[in-house]
Amino acid sequence: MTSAYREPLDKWLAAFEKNPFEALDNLLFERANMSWFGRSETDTILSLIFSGAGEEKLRLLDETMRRWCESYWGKMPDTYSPTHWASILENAFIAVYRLRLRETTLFLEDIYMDDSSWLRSLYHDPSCDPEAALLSTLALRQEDRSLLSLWMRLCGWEEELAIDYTSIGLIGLRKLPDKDGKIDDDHLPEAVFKGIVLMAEAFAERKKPEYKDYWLREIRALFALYPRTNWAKHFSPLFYRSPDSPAVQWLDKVKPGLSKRFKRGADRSLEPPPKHEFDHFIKLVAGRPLEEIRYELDSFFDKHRAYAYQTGDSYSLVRIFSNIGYKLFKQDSDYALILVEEAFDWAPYDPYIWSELAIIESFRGNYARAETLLWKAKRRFPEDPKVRSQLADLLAKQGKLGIAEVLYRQAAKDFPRNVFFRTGLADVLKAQSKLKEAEAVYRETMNDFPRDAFCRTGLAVVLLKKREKEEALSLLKETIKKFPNDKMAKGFFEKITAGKELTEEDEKELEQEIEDLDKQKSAALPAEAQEPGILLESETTAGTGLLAGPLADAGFGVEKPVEYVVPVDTASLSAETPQAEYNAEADELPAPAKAEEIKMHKETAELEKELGEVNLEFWQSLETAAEKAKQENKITAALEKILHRKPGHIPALLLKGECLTQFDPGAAGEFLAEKKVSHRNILGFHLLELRLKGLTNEKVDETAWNNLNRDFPTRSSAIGLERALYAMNNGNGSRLQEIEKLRKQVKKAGSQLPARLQKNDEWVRSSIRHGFFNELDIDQQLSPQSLEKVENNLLQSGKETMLRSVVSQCFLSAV
Amino acid sequence: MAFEHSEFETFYRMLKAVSGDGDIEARSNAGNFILDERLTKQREDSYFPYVNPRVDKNTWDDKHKRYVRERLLVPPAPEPETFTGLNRSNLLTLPEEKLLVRLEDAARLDRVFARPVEKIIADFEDFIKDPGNEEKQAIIKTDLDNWNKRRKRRPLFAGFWDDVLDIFIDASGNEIANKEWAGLLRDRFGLGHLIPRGGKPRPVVLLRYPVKKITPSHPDNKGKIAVPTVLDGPLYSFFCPSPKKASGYGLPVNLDPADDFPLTEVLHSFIEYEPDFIFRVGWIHRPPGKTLEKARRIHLELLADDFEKSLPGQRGAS
Repeated sequence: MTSAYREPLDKWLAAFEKNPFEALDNLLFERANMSWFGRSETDTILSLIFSGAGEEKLRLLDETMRRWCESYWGKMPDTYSPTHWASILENAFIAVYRLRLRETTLFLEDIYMDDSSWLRSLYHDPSCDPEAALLSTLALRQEDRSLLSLWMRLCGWEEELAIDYTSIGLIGLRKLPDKDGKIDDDHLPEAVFKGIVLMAEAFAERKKPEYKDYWLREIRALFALYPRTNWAKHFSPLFYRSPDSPAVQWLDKVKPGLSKRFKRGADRSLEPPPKHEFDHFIKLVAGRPLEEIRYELDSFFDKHRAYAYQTGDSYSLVRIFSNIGYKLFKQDSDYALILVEEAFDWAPYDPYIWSELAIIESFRGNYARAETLLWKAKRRFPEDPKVRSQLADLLAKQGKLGIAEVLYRQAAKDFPRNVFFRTGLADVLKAQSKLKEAEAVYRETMNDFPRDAFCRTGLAVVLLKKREKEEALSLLKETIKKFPNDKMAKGFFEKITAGKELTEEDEKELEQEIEDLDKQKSAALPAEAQEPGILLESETTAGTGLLAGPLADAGFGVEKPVEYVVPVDTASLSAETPQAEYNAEADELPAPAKAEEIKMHKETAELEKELGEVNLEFWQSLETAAEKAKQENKITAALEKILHRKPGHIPALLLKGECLTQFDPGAAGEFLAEKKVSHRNILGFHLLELRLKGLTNEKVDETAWNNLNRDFPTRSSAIGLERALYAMNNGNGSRLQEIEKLRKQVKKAGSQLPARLQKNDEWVRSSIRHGFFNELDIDQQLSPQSLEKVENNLLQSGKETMLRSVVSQCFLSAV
Repeated sequence: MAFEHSEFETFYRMLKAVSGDGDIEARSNAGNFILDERLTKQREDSYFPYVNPRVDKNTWDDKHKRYVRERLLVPPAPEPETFTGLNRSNLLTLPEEKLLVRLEDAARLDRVFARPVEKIIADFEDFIKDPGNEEKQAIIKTDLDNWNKRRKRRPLFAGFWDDVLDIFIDASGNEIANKEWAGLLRDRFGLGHLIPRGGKPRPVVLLRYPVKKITPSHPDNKGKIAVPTVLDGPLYSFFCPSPKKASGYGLPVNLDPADDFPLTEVLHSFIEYEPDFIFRVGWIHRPPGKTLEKARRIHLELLADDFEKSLPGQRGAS
């Protein structure tokens, strides 16, 4: 009887043994005839087939499943609807869990970290969500603690994901193996408590009562599932440091009186290593060669690793590793890279760490990797000026002056109050011998930024190159008078007045002298770099090189790493209270990542760079309308090339949508209609569809905008901006009303957003202020006269293009 | 009768051919389409694009699955076709207090609930024993919340509590301690695909809830409950459409070796499970008590006089 019921399963197994990939492919795509088992999900069928099967068969399944996942990763099979494809993937990921397919799990873990935007785009709702299925599999089948930072990020709701992902983060923490790779089902790992607190903080920021209810339900269940846990003991050290955490009050609702127990006896055994240790090591690093202090340093870092891996609290680790890593990279770039990559694993949403990585890679001569990192960082953090300046500088130093120029031009538009992009632009123009253009930019900058000395010196150099010595000297003289402490202007002036005519060689030499002078004043490192490569402008404390100077002086470069600002526990440092002891029983640490283990896969990395360049070319085509037609074919071809290699590459698809919207509205309509269905979870496709309607004078219903705000609440500023642009171009009597809405939106602080998105939101709001409400009092209600002013603002050259570009960069950063 | 209109000529010819020849699986699936007396013309029309211009026995399963995915599953369908006006004549109204039962496969729950199945079953058992216990409630509420979110939104089969009461309560009203209740229930509801896994028993959850839970805010529950037809789920050879003459409900093929008479079943719209729906948890230890071949033969013989049509080799009206 049993065998008769298993017949369809056995038949498939025979086919699998003959041709594993084909059989699995047919089963997962529901093409295989599984008879009455066809009513079950494919993971259940696989589980029925392989439960009790020998190890050899399971190994074959594992290897075949890995190949299957690899071959379909990032793809969207044409003949399947998005929801069907999502369901196929969900079942495949669940099967990986149910059958303990280890090789596939490891593969998925690796590739997920590399690129998951296409998977995210398939989200429809929690019942149709392959990414959640994959993450659950990773959470339940983790073998070490390498995913700890991912679970923490999910608990802290740092990504733009549905609320259910916080629960997955919590499961990941609950199922975190101990140092021996074992999971204790009776006791919670220490990191769970930090995860619970992060969740509460993230929910409280959103200020919605239903989120609090969600948290309470989750935590009540945890209390019930782990009755033997001493909750007060585990929470005490966390609340000792942050007594105002919303979790304190919320926990009282779960377990009345719990917070009183925190206050009575705070357990300090789980505190981060104290700040004075950090200060001590900063001095050591500055004063002694690495080989002398390495052993001491290692043990200091190990303490931080142990603390972070035990508690999940990475705040100190990230700051200390990136800070000291930065200070050491010229001595031992391998060592520094390990440190900074470790910080990166914990805080991949921090553009500062991306910058540091790029600096170190560049120093090591890995320009391609540095460039790729910066292209990706530029896309992910369009609000960060530092990343842009670094990228432009690196490109320029590699001789890619054309693309550096466009990059500076875009940055100058996106950050109109930032002088350094203007002078950077003038510098690359000068380097390309576009002296007339460089002069114009310098003069404009002098006018807009009268307190900036560098643009004056820059202009003097251009004038000298143009053989306009008198004017150059007069400008330098005036600059020295106005800025008596400016060494560069003085240096130039002295050299010229010494009698010699300034040749190009002289100019370089002079710049070098000035740079060296500044270097002497900065904290010198004891050893020379072992593998010197291009030094990015930000690596010098006051670079004054041809392309480097102004940005290095800017203060936003990474030359001034953030200081260690771990909250100081003064009580623990006082004489009365013994210094907090580090818990010696902390779990064993995972091996630090090797420098070669670069998270970004080669293919994705190359695409990121190509995409960044095409994106800039597209931006340029919008800026210089005359070249639009010429650029169109080039851009389209480049995009098609990228999509041919990776058809599911979401940023490339978004850019294609944007290009079509501008170049070919007819095709854009069809493309966007399809994409917004197949990638329902991607804001860009929805926004572009509305933009297209605006450009083709089609009406957009109020509900369309409202739906977008409902579905993408963290991007309301960008949506509001696009909506206002639509109203200005297509609205009639409602324009004032719409702009008034935007004004109110701009006034709202984005504090309910996660920290990473807050910066992005601030940038969007500041662009709106500059683009829409320039010279208008944002605190005053708008009048018909102010509408006129808004119109004038938008009419200013390139303002509208700039604002649309801000929206586009925002939705690109979300994938 | 289903699919006898001229536009379905090719499809119907294929059904006739397959229902008279081949293995029991294919015969059953094709036979069911011929026998179904309840399909409305509108639903046939809705199915038309999936089997037109041509479908053969090898491609039919694939096309049918596509129909199910596109017309019954939410998303992408806004509402399963089962509960739309296209299926009006099969929609039912039931007394609000009527209790329904539904057997759910629990093998997948370990993933959703992040605990081993044995532990989940134990937690559920504890909750059933002491439903007022706040801690147990907290666990079950969160479990069900997570489960409800991840469940696919499709029409759900359910039986009537009255039909299975004898498995749990004896004539004197005492509870019966029957460790094999899960297997027995599986047999009576004709759920032949629920078999033990590689020699390991299969966990199941029995849910029991009143009709009013399906349409809590609607006084008339018509529109949310329906008699099942061949178009309300994937091709399933253990299914058999019910003849109108025999019953106003669905009639599952009985796989219980000791009992041949079919129970009754209905389909209802998706509902979120609540803690007090959980009536029993248990394990299926054995495969079905009858083979499909035997069970279906007996089922069709019992209903032969009620069907308007008969299949090759089947006794009854033609």
